[in-house]
Amino acid sequence: MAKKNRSLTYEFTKGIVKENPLLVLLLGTCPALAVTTSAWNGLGMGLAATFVLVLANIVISALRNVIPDRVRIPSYITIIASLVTILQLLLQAYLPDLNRSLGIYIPLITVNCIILGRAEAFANRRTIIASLMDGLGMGVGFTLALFIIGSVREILGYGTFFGMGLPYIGGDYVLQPILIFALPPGGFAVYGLLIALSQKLSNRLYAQTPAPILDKEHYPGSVLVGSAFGSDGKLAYPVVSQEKEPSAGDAGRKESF
Amino acid sequence: MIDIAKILFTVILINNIVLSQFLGVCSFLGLTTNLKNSMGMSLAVVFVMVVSSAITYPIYTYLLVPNNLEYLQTVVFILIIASAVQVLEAIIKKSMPPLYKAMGIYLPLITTNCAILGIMLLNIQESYTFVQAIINGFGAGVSFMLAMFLFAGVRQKMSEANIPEFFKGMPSVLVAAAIVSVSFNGFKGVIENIFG
Amino acid sequence: MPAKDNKNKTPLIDRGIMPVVILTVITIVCVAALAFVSSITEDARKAQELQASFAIQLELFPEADEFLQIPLDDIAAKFPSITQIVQAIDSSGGSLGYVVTAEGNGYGGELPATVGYDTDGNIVGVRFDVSAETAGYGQNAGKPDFYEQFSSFNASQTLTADSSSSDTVIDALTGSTRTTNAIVAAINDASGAFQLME
Repeated sequence: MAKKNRSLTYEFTKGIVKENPLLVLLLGTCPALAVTTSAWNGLGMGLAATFVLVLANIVISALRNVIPDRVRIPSYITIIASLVTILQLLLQAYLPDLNRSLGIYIPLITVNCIILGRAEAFANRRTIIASLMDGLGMGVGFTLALFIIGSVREILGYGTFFGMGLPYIGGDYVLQPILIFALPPGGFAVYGLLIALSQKLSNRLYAQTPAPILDKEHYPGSVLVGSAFGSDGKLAYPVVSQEKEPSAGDAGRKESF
Repeated sequence: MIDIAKILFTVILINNIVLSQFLGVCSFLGLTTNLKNSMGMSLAVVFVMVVSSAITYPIYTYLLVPNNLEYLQTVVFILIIASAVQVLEAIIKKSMPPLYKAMGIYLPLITTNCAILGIMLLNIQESYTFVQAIINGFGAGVSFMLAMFLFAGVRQKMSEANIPEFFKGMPSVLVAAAIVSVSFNGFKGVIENIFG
Repeated sequence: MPAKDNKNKTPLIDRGIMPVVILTVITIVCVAALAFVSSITEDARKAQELQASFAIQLELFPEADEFLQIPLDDIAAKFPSITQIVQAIDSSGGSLGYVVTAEGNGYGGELPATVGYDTDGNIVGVRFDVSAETAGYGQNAGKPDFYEQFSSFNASQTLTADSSSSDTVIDALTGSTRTTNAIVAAINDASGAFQLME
């Protein structure tokens, strides 16, 4: 993991399984719980976030040598917020139903930790193509996880899938939908169970109870996002060394998630 | 008066910002390991909520709407929140060092907290008046604080428990959050009966 | 990320007010992009909004560009069953007519009837919400072969289902007297309201 530039395919595939933003990096949890009341909503939110993520990665990577360090966070936020607004306008015009079901969670993509996190950790120091692949991979992983959670909650909570009724569930059958899965508690529970499942499948305990989020000692000056920490306070898995030359201000900055 | 009580009741208990509306979940899951962190973050959130509500509302109503610039809502709001946080941090650092020690370091994190932007957007969506928006902001902060405190207590108990192998870490935390969320479900339907 | 303290010379973009300038430039470009997207999607967005709020009215006046709400105050006194009146405006600002929604008392409860009138009072179309009526009987009012007959009438005519009456007779629904009467009453109310407005 000390190699500097991994292949583009790796940058893409890592987002799907190894560093899945929802299940491994634990980023973007707000929409994961809020909009996954149905498979279609989960899918729609994932695609919307991917749209913003990919474009934000591209733009920020293109501007990485132009944006001064001091104003980097406000710059990123402006760019991301504008992209989200563009997405919102397009949805209002051409996909109003999706717009209505996702509600305020579309503008909330602006503060989705995944996007800012990838900008901070990846796009601002890698090439445009690499950032594009990273964004795509993360987006696909995010969408996949959202789709799974959404499907489970819809099937268990309403007995439908993509709005279509399922055989043997509901009506006079023995199997009845369990509404609580479609309600907030179900969101927490299904998400938690999915993480447990993926920890078991990958045989790694990476989603430990995280250390305090803002760890200034290890990450001075960085906006720490996500909680991929082990219980000893260190990152749960190996860290890639910084590509650009280190400076006094950047001493502690590693490729944070 | 009933108005204010209704708003507070709704946002704190019935539509708890973390447990029902899923806003601010990142900090909720990350900071509740430690009561001190929880308190610091909640205080900071209450501050920023009130200040941001007070600023975003007039700017939206008197600047954006009359000029047909509603689409700038997200950009303007998030920039206001980011600036308010910066200014707040500077002010608190200078004039109230002990308070800064308690919660100042959480301020930069709040910019990306979905709860703040979410409540600002909801203030507009629910067509609140200026005063109602501020009350809602304050209530949201308290709601956040309540959820954080409750959950910090739960996690403290959990840290002494024997958790199955693959449930260690986030899964157990999330399932615990699910149970706490169920308990808040009990408040639904209460408001009509209290406030008539 | 550009280094700051290691080098003797700070890079241009970090010096003095350059950071603020760059941030401002980025903001301006972003806002410009937003304004652009907003204007190219404007028509599509307005159409969606119209569709969402005035779906039925759009069916009756597909060429309408917008619908103006007409206040009900005096009309409500004489015709309490009226729930909504909108004026259909075309793209050049001219009036295409009015759409009046009246509530009849059907078999299963409320039976909203939406009637569109052109500027001469001719009925351009009617739509009924018969979800509360009986399937196979009252619900047939929702079918085009029933409601299309109303497009041949005018607001000045009082309609009736009673074939012996001197008023204009309509083809009633088979086996659903209650529904038919509710519909007739609602349309008559709507016509009366329309004539009050003229």
